[in-house]
Amino acid sequence: MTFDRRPWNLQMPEDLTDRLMAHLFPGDGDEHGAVVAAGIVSTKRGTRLLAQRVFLAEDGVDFVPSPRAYRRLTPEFVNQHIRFCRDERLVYLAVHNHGPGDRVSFSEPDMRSHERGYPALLDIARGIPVGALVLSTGAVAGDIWTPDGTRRPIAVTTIPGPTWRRRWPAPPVTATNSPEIDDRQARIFGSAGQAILRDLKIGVIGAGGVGMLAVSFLARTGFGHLVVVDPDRIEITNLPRLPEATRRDARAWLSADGRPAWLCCLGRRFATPKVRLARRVARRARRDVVLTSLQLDVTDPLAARELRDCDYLILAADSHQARAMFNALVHAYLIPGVQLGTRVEVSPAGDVGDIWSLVRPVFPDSGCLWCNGLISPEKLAEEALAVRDLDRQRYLPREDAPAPSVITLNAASVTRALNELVLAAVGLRRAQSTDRDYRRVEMRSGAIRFETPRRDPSCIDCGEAGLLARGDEAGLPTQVAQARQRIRWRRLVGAQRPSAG
Amino acid sequence: MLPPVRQAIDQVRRAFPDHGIETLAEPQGGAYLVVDEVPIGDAFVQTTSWLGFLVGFQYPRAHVYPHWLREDLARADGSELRPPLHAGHQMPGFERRAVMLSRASNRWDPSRDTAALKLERVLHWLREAT
Repeated sequence: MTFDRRPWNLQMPEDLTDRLMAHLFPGDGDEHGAVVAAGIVSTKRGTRLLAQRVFLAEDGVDFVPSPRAYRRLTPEFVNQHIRFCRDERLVYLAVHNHGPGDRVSFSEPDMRSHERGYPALLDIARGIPVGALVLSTGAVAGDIWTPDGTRRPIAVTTIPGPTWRRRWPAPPVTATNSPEIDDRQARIFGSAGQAILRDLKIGVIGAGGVGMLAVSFLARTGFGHLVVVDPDRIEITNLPRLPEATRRDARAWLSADGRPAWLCCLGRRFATPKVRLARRVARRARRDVVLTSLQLDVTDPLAARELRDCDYLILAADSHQARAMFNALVHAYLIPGVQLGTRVEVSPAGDVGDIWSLVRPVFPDSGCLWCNGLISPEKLAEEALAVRDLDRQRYLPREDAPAPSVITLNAASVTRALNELVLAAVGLRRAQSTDRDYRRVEMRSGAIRFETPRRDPSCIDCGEAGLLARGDEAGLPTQVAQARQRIRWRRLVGAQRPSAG
Repeated sequence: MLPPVRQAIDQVRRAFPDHGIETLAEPQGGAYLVVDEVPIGDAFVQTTSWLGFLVGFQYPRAHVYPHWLREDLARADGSELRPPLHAGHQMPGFERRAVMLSRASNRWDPSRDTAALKLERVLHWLREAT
């Protein structure tokens, strides 16, 4: 196994971080210790460690005075947890704290202790990296040792949650001025905020009525890199909800009502793929956006490979297969995300009932779609049957009538979620007790409902025994690679990919 | 074929060691299975049937349903087959004419349920069917 030689990054779920910080900084001004076990993911942008568990060292028992430094973890505590990490194929990270402040680094005795102890830990870990973290109240530094004998620092620690906290070893250098196009936004976000948006990579699953609006807004706001996944082509009934889509995109002269079936079929076959429209929408919004468009089902391994590298995921597709993939990606790679949609209740007689705009935030430590009954194993089974088989299975409750949909209703959930994303990313979001709740707005009355998501410790995705923070070791619910499928990779303009961190 | 699907097939083989089991990989990474000559109880004219099903590529997240049985399945009391048994279907993959049994369960738990356990439950239902 080869390891990326650039500095690595670290992601820590908010609940784990809060427990760790409460242990390290109880208010006594002293030093405390712990071990974090972390998964690992390597992509073109770099390597991220994904904190899965924290083991708190009890003062005086597991964390004791050291003859060579101030305190140390006991050999028994280290031995127990390095073996756990080896067996679970997780990275072992010894953790201690220094004082308050926004800068932190390892002391000379810290580094000498790493040099004495970590070669032996690497032997025990059998091919898995080991390392250490040191925290102050507002900073994190790391020293990671890999089996090839090299060491790397931790550049950025991200705590994915509603307020999107980040920690560095020292405050980063302030960004230069924003370009003129961002002038009005930079007056809110600052040049530093605009630079943060430029560095973020956002995955959009589904480029329909909701996803296409998200692509347009994200590109115009200045997010630097978008990944858009959708296997479908534009149909004439999509036109009222897809920005910039034309009748030509839908091959309307071939597929309009009244045309022979074979002509309609031809029209559908040659209509513009939705991801190609997404590229056009993004390019017209901003020429320097980097866009990766994949005309694939989200369960294709190539789509999953690109999405696992994102900083945030937007689920704008209806299928339960897409929900299952999105949920697995959020938890296996600690990528926060949101499910967006609109649900219009219509009676069999055609009477319109409630109209719901849905925003479901999903964080690695809350909002799991499995735990909250939002992924149906039955629907997954039905969707696994090919369309021709579904048609044959008359018993299956087919939802033949397309769901009602209106662009303004779709925009309600998109704008709400993206406002939260943008403000969180640039550090302007104010934490609220309902931040993690699912939100439903009944559009006919304006009534807002909040639902606090449940969490099942034995969950296949968010449970510790499930996919949580397993990174590249996780078995995602993808199909096998389909060589015959068409893959479209497009990058807009010759802009360089945003760098990580 | 994906590893969880192969594991499901192994579990079915272990649960039904005395039966012939045919498998057919499907393009997405799942597999169709047919378990031969399974006793189905006294409620039917036929005492045994083959039982087929798809283990989808998202197993174990995906439920294992529906199941398919022999085409000529008939009730012992002479009454018509009624839901969840549906005559006149075809099992995909193996393309066999079949009776389909659509026993979905709202309690499928991906961390505990397996294709083999589901098959046992289907057989239990068939044997108890009146």
